[in-house]
Amino acid sequence: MKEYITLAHGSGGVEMHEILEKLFFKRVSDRFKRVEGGIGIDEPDDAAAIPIGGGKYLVVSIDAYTVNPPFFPGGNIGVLAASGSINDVLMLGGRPIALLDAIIVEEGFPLEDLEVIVDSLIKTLEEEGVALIGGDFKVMPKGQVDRITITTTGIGISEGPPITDNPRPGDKIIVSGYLGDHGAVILLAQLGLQSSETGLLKSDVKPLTKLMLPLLERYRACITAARDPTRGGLAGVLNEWASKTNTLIVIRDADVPVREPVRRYAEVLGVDPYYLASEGAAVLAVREECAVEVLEYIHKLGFTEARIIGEVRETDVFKGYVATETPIGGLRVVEPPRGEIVPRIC
Amino acid sequence: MTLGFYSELEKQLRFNRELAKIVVEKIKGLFTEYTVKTGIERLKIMDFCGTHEWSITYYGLRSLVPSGMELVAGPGCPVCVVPSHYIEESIKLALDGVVVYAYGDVYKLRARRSVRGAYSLSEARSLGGDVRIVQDILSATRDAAGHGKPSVFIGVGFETAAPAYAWSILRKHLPVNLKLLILVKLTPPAMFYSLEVSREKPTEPPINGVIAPGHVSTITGAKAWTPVSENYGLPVVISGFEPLDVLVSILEIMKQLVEGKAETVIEYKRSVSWHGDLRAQNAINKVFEVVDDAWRGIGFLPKSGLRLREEYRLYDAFYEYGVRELKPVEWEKDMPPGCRCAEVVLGKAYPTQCPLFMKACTPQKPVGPCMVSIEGTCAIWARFGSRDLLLRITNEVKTSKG
Amino acid sequence: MCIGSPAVVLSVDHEKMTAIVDYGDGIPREVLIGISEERVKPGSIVIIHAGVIVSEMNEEEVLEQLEFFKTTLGEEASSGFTKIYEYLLKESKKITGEKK
Ligand code: SF4
Repeated sequence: MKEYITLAHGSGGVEMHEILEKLFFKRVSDRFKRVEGGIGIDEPDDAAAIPIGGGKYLVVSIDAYTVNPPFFPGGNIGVLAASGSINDVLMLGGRPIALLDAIIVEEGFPLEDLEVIVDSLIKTLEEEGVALIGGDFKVMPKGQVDRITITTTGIGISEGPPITDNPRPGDKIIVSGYLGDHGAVILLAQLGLQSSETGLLKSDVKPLTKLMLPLLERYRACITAARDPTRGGLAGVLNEWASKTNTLIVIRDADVPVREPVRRYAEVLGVDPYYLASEGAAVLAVREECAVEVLEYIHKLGFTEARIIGEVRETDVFKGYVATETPIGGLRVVEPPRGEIVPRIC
Repeated sequence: MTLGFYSELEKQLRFNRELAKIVVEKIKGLFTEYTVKTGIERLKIMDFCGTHEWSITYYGLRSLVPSGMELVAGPGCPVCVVPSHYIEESIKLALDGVVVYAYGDVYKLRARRSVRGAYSLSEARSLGGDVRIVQDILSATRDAAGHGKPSVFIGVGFETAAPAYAWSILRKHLPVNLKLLILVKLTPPAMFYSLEVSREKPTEPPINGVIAPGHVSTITGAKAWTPVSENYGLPVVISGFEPLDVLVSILEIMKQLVEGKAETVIEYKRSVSWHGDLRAQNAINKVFEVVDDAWRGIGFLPKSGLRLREEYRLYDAFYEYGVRELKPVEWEKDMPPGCRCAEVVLGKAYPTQCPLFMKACTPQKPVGPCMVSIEGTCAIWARFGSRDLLLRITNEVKTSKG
Repeated sequence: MCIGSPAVVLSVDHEKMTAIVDYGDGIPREVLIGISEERVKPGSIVIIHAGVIVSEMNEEEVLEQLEFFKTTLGEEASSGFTKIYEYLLKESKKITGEKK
């Protein structure tokens, strides 16, 4: 039977990992999966690191942004492309310094819109002190690309060993704020639910520099894993961590911050907010002894909704599982994301 | 505007841990009392609504009830029971250039045979078909009116969804280019059938009580379920969907069992009345006729489905596009070999008893329909873990250290 | 099978038999009225399935609900609900006030 690429392959879930494994990880020989002494696709992450001497590393990330629609409540594809790559560099422990972009735009795209998008991208970079040092610009004939895609490469310097996502038993899981805002907005826009009314839903897209730079400076040694839960959401991040480290991660529903309107909207669609993307939140694993201190510090940095939502546990049997305690004291398994997120009626 | 008093009620029913504990203790107490009285140590309670099954798994209720109590799911998913034939017909429409509107779970549903390379509407879209996911019929009517192209809405659902289709016709919301492929199924026949089957060939343990669908009953009224308590001697509770609603319904079933009663009782009083909504019932009767309908994996059940009446042909995709109906003579179990979905749907087997479960059949590559719909029991077990896994993991979580 | 979400009715269009509702995410959405239209008024709390109002919950019915909890759970166990009770009695005055 001939196989085809489906949207599920790009949804950040099980199918995507399978296809990446098949297309890349299996084909690239081990020796070429990283630069000597650095981090590459042997640690499949959004970014890579190359040692530059003095215990420092060059951190590089790449991401292609296609978002339908390019303008959404709370931002546009320009802010998203800038913030996303900045965050990818931050999550590996780097301080972002520069960015390159490649824009492909469809013939007939309004120039005015493109200006707004590019302005947002530049503004986001400038606010974070990140230089735009190169790029590419192409136009495709009508119908050969859906309006616009932006690919960005983020470049940063890590002052110490990069954070390679190796949570250990005992570590606490901290989230920096409300989860699922961006995913909810995008679903809303894609389902074309009525006019331009946006109500209380707004994307959380933003660079996490103000959170991560001070944290890295003070607590780098405490942080055993850091990730922004984009595609695949919280469920995706935690499942990856648990299966990578053969641990059991236990969280508590009641402690996971989800905005009321997002919860309501997700409920209407029958989707679980744990699988919705955030573009301005971080999930961290922090060593037990510093967890409380780190949390307090995060609060001081202005991320007042940050919480400890659970912890990493050692386990003989349930390696790679994520479980959550429900508000009424039951337990359920949080499965890795699979397939496209679509609403259900049943 | 806020949801006012409802938010407060919901908060209690969803988050009140103390209350949940009290109810669970009471359930356990009655369970023991029942065991002492009758010597029966294992009980089976069946739910008939995918959303109940969802609440039970999502809130981890199986980890809370007594270990001798099994909560099983009946044929409560209108998507899982759509015969493969109709999905194939829908794929054909999509590949022939008709805009197809489908709910998210219908979009993913796999047919048994492929149509020009596509096994589902989702694959039809990958192959160039124009398939659009919608959450409700009004969105489809607006969208279709906007582009004017020939379009079909896949109208699956139970009694709850039927008024949507009826009113969109009666209130003339449908643009001329949008036709309905009505595949509505009626729930009482399916429930009676499952109970009949388990009466003839009792499972171990047999079904001892029924949690009846809440939202279906808003339309049909609680009265639709009295034959269950009367003919099968089972306690029936029409339940709400918050975790505490379900726990209280289980408690009510236990109470009846201990007292030796079998009555139809409404727990979901805030939404369900005894007679249902007459106006909605009238609209359904006006637009639809009741037909013998095919349930995937089960077969033809008498008077178990709805189709548009002849007067409403103008809106009927069956008529407009010559979509063929499945006939009882050509019925064959449209279950793939090895799949035990038919038994799973009737509460006679657990997904874990199927040799294909999580081996050949996974949510990414579903073999049988129970794995396809997000509501399907196999899919739910795959996503949230089986009861056995749940109990063991609960134990581990309680004892393991960080 | 039938996911149903609560929402509050903002306005009613009797001709089209539709209502504008808010699910709590602040977005006004048009839905069909599937039940007797007298039951649906601005301010009503309704249950919506697949874009159609299938039920309406008035204070009386919620009080009945609480009564049911009381009889099933026993007086002392249902103390968790007394708060809602009081809240509801208070609110119901407010809500009926609002509707006028
Ligand atoms: S696991 Fe798959 S093959 Fe087995 S019964 Fe369920 S749907 Fe059928």
